[in-house]
Amino acid sequence: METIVEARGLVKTFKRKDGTEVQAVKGINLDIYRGEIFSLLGPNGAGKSTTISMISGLLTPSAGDAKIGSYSITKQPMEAKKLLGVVPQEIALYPTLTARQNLEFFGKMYGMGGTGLRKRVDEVLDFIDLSDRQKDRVDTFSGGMKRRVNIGVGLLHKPQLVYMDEPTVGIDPQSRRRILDTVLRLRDEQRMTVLYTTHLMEESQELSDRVGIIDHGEIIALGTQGQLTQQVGEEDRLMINVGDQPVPESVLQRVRQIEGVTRADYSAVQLNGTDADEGISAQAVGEKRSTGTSATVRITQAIDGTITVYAVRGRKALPHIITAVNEGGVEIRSVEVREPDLEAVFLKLTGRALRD
Amino acid sequence: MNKLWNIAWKDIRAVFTDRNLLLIMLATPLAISTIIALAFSGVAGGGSPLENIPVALVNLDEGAGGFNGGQIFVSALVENPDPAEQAEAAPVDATPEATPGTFELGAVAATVLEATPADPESCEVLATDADQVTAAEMLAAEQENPGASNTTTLYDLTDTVLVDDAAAARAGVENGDYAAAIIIPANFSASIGYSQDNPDFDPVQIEVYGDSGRSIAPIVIRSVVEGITNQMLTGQVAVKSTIDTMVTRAQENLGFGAQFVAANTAGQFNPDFSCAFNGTFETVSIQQERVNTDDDDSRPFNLLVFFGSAQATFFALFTANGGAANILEERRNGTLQRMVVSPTPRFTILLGKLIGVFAMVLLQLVFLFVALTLVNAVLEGEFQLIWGNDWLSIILLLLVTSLATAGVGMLTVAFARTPEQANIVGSVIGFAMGILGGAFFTLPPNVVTDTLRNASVIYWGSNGFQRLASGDSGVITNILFLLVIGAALFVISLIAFNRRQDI
Repeated sequence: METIVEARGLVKTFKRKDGTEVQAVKGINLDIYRGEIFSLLGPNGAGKSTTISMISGLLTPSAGDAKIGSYSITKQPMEAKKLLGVVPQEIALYPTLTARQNLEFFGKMYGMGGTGLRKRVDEVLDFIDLSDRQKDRVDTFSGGMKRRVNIGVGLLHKPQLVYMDEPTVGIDPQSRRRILDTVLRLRDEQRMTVLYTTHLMEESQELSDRVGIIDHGEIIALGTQGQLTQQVGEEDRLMINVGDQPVPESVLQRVRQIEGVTRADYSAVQLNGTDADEGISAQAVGEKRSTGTSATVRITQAIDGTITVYAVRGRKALPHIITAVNEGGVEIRSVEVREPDLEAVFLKLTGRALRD
Repeated sequence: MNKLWNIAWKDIRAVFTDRNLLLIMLATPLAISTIIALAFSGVAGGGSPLENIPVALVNLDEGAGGFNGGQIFVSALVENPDPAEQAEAAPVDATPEATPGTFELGAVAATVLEATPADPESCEVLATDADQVTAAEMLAAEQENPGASNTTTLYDLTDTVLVDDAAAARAGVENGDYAAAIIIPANFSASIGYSQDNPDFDPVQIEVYGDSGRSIAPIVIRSVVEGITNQMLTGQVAVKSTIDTMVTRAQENLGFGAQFVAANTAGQFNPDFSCAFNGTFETVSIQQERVNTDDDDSRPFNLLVFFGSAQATFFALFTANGGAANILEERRNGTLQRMVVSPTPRFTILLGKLIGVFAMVLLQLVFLFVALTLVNAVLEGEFQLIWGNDWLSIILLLLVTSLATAGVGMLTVAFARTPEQANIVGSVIGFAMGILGGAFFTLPPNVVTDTLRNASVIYWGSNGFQRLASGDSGVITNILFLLVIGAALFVISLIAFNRRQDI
């Protein structure tokens, strides 16, 4: 397949204030094929934005290089940039300008002008379904409409590759649906390649032809969704919520001995702030009356504990698991069975959830 | 080039279509300047905010034909001159029995009329008939009702001391002891005094040696000197007119000539010409010191020009700072990154932004200067080019002031991390430069303030405009300083921005 992006050994090192260095991207190799939707999936701080910033020319790589089309981003940056359209996560528009003025301004930054620009602006406005609002100032638009203009700007110069950085952040489900459809139309109707970054596994699963999972500045998995889920085998994941109850190790031991279970872990998420100075335990919920004043401070610290069990044919093992937990004196609040997905792949590879 | 203009024009359009910004950029400095001018100038009937300007007066005038114009300056400006010196050279005494060395008009006229008798007339009648002695009328009115319309006298305005040596006076100015030195040349009276031997006025120059560092005081002193000189000239014109009239009438009417000679011989001719030479200028105010001379370059002091130019430059500094801080705002909003990922060199983007800042400041200054001119026209009831007639210098000064203020604003932002930080630092610098540059008040002159204000582009800009407004075209230093500072800051800012990784 013909590649549109070839990254080889991309490294980005930042200097801290104390003079030490931190490597945000550690030698990434990446191929993106022409005409596909490629998702770069990873938690916040994994190195997604830094990688894309280097590819799009915002940051200069500390080492390595990448090509867009046949142009090197370090040696022929202007030529490479002509092939790339960028849709940033934030609404990167001028609020006091109208939708058309915004599009025209950025079109001129790509060397467009005259009737060609006007015609293309009309096409883009039509594509993002905002022709009727083209003369309105952007600051009068809803969040979803701003997102569409934001996307439109990235499409103006008919790029071969469109990079979209989490374009559905902070918008309502209806607008989100519309944007996801737009992404699919870019590939199917406009024949554009889309590089899509997200931390939402569901979006990645729905849109992507291929997925790259990035963590700590490295691509830890790359392939189609099917290829990636194969990595976690056929194990189901059972999420047993036990609220703020402590789970003794003996309970986990009993669960691990059940047939089909390969792994059982307990993890807890603290829902509210702690008050360590007061010496209150993480599981305590109560009231504290301050002395000398009439104020009453209610301390609502709580933890949300989950037993995560990996099991082949998990549904079959579930009754036995529930029994084992109950007999250990732990009351189950809820149970969820998840079949293998990208979240599971990430969890399996990193030991952490994507949203952590 | 198209991209440069695209970026600059976008910023200019964004600013000049924002009502709130326009209010701050244009309406506020205009209102402040007008209010200050109204509050402190004679336009509003108030007194001058200036008092006790230290002045050295060097009177080298040797007098001529009994007239000593230099002594008029002494009387007008020195509140308590040496009485002995006063007696030695009283400014004017038109009586035939005047002390030796005084102006003896009767003798002059009689000399002329020995052959051509004439009919005596009074100063006022002649003045009115000849429609000449407007200054005399003004002084007479002031004597009748001193201080009716003005409260600041020349004695209040200046703290003038007599100095014998011109070099010492100049040195005093350079040392900061005096704001200005007035040096009356030895041939002053001989040049402007009317006599039979010298019926025409000769060009003569009074030197006002001003401290260029004190932007306001030398301009005021120059205006005062022009005012006194103009009144003396007016008086001389009246004398000439009177004598010419008498001689003409005597030639036409021999009886009148004989009567005049007889009256003068008997000491009965005593027209009160002293009204035209009255050295008692206590009631002359700054406002009254307007000089309507033939010299087009000579202009009265105008508080609207003084505070308006400083306020305009002061607010231009904030516009520059805000405009440059917009780069950081754009970085925060992501639009800067959006430009960077387009096939546009980073340098072009920054240059376009900086050109936008420069253009905004220039447009702001042009607008304010035009608006201040119109405000002055409304207040004065007539249209005047209050910034002078030297259009080339005005344009150059506008350009370099815009460049320098834009440079200061951009340098501040180039080293700031956030727009908030840029605004705080920019405000501190702006107010410091405003205070040093006289945007709010004039600082007490001393070595420290005189040195510090040289670091203020507001001082250099407003000082240049004030000089041009007063008819002084010597603003090349201002232009060069602002050009060099502006260009240097512009380049440093561009390099600093370009080196930043976060932009």
